Amino acid sequence: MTQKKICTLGTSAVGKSSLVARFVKGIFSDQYLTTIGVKIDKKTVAARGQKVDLLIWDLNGEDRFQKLSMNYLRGTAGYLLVIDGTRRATMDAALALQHKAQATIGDVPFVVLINKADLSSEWEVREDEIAEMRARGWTIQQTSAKTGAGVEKAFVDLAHKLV
Amino acid sequence: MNPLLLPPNLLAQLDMAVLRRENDGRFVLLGEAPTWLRDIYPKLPSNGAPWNPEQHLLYLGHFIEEADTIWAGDGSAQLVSDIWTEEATSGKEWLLEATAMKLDGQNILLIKFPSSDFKTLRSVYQEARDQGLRQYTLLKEIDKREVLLHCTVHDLSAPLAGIRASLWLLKEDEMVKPVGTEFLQIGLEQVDKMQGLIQDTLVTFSTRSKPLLQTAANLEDAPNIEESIREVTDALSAMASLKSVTFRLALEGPPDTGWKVAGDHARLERILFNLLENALRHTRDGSVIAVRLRDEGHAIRVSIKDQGEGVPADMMNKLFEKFSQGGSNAGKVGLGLYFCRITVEDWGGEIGCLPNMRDGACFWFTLPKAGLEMQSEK
Repeated sequence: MTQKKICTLGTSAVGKSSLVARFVKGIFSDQYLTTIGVKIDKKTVAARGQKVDLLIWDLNGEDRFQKLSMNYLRGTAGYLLVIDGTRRATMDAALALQHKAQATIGDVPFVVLINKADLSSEWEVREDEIAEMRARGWTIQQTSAKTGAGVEKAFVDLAHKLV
Repeated sequence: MNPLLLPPNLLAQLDMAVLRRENDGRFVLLGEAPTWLRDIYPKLPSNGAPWNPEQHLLYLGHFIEEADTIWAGDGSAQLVSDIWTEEATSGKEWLLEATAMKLDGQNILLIKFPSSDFKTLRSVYQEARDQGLRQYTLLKEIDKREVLLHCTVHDLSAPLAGIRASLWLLKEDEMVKPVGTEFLQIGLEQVDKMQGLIQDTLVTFSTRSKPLLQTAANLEDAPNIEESIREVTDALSAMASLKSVTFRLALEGPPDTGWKVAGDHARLERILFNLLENALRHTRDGSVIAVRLRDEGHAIRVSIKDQGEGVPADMMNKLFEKFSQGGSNAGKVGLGLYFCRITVEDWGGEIGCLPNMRDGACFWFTLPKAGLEMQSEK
């Protein structure tokens, strides 16, 4: 079985831990609990006809209070770049993190998750901005950790890029 | 024999796990295992047999790579890991911190709970981020209310334009007796003042949001979009006559189509007023504005086509944004189409403008049929 380390990147409160909890355990909590440091989960998915053991490193969000240690990215095969669709500024933060990640570990595969799709009426990230990211060749997936929509697909899409 | 000469359960009582790294890279637990370690890895060898903790505490795999430099050193340095979370088989989460050090020539890995300083730090981060989210939510709420106010003020301008046009027609066609002319002129001046006031108010606003919306509670109260169109075109008839413009309404659907849609009367009429007044403003003098209602099964589609110059290509993507307006829209602040979009979308519909129209603009929107929308909500 292939084992791959992947990370979640994004600013705080975009739903990184909730996405991992939804994917790994199928659960969701409305209560926001900030992540300090790192939590590692494991889940096996099927990609391109083989089983891939995903080691999911759920990292703390980077914001004005806490920086993300790029050291965590060592050995990372791919990552999920998470944006909160209801907060436009989280997209800018994600783009900045993507630059940092690229500078640290090079061109490794990643998938952009625009989370909180269940709150789409509150979205601030615009369609043309999403289209612009797609035009760069990025894989974009709208997700809702709350309902589970798009979550499995996002992780499996990344796994496909890794094998 | 305990190499540290300590009671074997002392470290466990202090919730610390002390491991010694053997030459083969595996680790031996010194003393007894703390509760949390047994909780995370119940199969932990109890006889002091070597094992690989990084296979169960995955973060250690990352940390041990860095710790190797400490163990290879002269023993003067220590390395403390970041905080990480381990989930026990019971589902409980343990926050841990590791320290690598060299002690009496032995390579030691100490794993324990983070210090109490960390707990304080964590609660500060939590509170700061919670406050940040609360502040953001509050600002959005303020934004919402502000735009609701904008839209209301903006909405006053359309009927006022109708009043002005009517008064102007009375004056131009000399339909008022000479004794009433003075009052007519006063009326026109007051309308102009009010329009100026509205414009001044609107230009002071500059934020984005959406109105607080309500939909009709039952099918009987749901608005009939055909009737709403007729009411709005009647209200605009005076303005239309100034440009010799005709509204032409066409209905496409089975005879039993009820034309009732999701939403409420007042806001639906405002959407229609904004779109029709927009078409009227841009269409050529003497032209026809075609309004078409189509029954699409679950939804009603409305299209409004004028015979003006159409929408410039560079405006298409911005049409429904707040404060978006073409160069010829003097006196408008670009809230009308924005209001239409956020309202239609909140009612579960869609709105747009057909691209590449050469002979005028064609705006359209869909709204769920009232009965169907209510059934799906149940």
